[in-house]
Amino acid sequence: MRMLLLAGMALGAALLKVSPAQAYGVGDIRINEILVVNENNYEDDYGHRVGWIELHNTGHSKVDVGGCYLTVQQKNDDRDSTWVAYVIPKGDPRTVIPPQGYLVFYAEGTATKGTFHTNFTLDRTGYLALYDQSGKGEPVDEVTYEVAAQQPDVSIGVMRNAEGEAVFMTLPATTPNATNEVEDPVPPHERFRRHDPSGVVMTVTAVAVVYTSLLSLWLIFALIGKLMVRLSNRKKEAPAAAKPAAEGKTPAVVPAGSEGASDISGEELAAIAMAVYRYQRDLHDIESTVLTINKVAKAYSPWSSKIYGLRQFPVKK
Amino acid sequence: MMFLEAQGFFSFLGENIRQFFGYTGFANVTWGHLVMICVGLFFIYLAIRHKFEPMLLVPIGFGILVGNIPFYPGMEVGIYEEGSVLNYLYFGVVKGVYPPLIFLGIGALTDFSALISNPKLMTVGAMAQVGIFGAYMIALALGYTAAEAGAIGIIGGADGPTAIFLTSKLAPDLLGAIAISAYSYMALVPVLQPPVMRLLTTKKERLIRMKPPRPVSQNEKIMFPIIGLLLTCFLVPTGLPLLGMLFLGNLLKESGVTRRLATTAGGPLIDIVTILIGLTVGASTQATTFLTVKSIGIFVIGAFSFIIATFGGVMYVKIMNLFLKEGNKINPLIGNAGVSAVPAAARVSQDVGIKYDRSNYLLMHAMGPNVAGVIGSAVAAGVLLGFLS
Repeated sequence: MRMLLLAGMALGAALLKVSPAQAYGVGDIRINEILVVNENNYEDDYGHRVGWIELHNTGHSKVDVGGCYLTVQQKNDDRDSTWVAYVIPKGDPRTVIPPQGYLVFYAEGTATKGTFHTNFTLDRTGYLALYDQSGKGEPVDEVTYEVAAQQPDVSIGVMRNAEGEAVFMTLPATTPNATNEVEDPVPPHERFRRHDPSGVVMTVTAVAVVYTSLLSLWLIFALIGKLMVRLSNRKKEAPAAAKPAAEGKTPAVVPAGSEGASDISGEELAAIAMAVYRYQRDLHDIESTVLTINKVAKAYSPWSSKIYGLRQFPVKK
Repeated sequence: MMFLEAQGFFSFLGENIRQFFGYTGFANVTWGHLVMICVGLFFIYLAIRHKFEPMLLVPIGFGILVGNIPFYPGMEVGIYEEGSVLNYLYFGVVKGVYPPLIFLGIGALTDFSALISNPKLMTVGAMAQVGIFGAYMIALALGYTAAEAGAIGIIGGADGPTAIFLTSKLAPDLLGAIAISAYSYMALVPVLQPPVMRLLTTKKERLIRMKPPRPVSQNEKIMFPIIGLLLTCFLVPTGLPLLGMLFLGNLLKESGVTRRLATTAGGPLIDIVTILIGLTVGASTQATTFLTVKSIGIFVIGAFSFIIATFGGVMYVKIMNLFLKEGNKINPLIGNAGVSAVPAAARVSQDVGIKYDRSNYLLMHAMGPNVAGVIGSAVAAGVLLGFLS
């Protein structure tokens, strides 16, 4: 009981330590992709091509980013009065990002075009950050980039490098409202073949896995088998077995190998059982075609009488 | 006027008859269709006359006939035509629905006692799976893609549902050829295996008598599917659909409290699914998609996979015998049963063994590696799926 209480207290303490951002689910939001110079790329809902920011919900529940802050200005501390940021309007249902979903904001520099148009552009500071609804503390996510190095219509975003780590890098293609991991042109089986053209690695690995799984079953059941045999031997040796005999009763089943047990082997018993089974099955098979010398009489019924089904000749009287 | 009207009527009638003829099988028949119909008839002949796996070969053979009735395309009739009834039934094959259901039934019908009483036979079931990977290597060498090679290799597991399950995931285009090949060779186990078994064993080895299996308690039988599932699926989670259903079926049988469920799984359910899978797999061998060089290659590699599997199982038992004491030795004639063609492969062990000693019954012993082969081939399929998909 005390252990349970302690575990509960530890859990409560852990929950209390969670930051407000995480509590609201905003902690799952990442800056996934940005395009600084947009010449011939994604158009906003006014038909203009401007820089854009893609947020991604990495979690498995929906998150409302209404009230969060987007900014291109680094903050000295929470009392920094010169800090300017774009507050994502609250109450707009479109700011709810579904699990694993995406949301694009247009960095146009005018805050009068609606929820998704920010009051800053991306081509000035080389910094972008997302703060939670409090606007205080550490940003939920932030990225830095070199403005001068940005190519037209080439976006930067989160992608896995050769080592499999997710890093912010130049992307091979712009993917607004979609994952940055564009489909691998080489299917996994072909990649496997390139590394193992003869199939030796596959053979050795797979046979080892199959062998290991069955070997472990062997070991476990060898152990269980020994335990079971020992248990059954102990039961046989138990003095309780003699009790029915002492009371003058015959045990219902005589254990094999014990005194008084039948000499019939298991194989013979199986053969007898099979013979009985076949005999009974055969009995069933000839049930419907019984050959008899007894007279068979069917009960008369006007319903089955043929005479009533035939047309009667008119009788002249 | 009357003549003109009559002429118009006859031309209309002629046009309709011509059009009708265009829809008939006679107008659309090709040599490929006729060849496949002959193959279907041969399967039915083998099943009825020689009793080679009739439960499988009759529906498959008839399915081949169904699938190779020539028709005018676009009438929603063929198995590959969207919206046709056969296409709906084929969905269970393409999406791998039928094989796990069949495994449920197999589990409900299988008695693992032989294996539990002599658990060292489990590893024989593992080593017979080398047939899968031998065939995989041959297929790679012949230029098949790795996914295709994996699907072809699984023929060596001698397990139709596993072959269908894996092929539907790795190489759906080869489904018909691989399924037909797997089931054909399963039916031909009595023909393919004995020469290899005789070649690899000495007369002395064939006469080895094995200890009778010890009685197995119900507790052990109940523990087997639970521990089996946890162990194999923690190691190879990709084998879960097959192994999960296999062990569930077995637990239904052995628990003793779900007899009705076990009876259904091992009776009506497996029968229904066998009919559906046999018919649709047979019908999927439409000449237009089936008669290709790739299919011929699959048949050749399939035969080799069975031979390699038999070789692997028998040789492994011979190696095991080097380390076992006199009296505990295993008759290598049960090594072939490590492939999962249950109970055909075990029956082969019995038939070959009895030729050399009329009182040496190997069937019970061979059932151990045989059912271990079912588990082994499902695990191997999981490994291939994990690496190649």
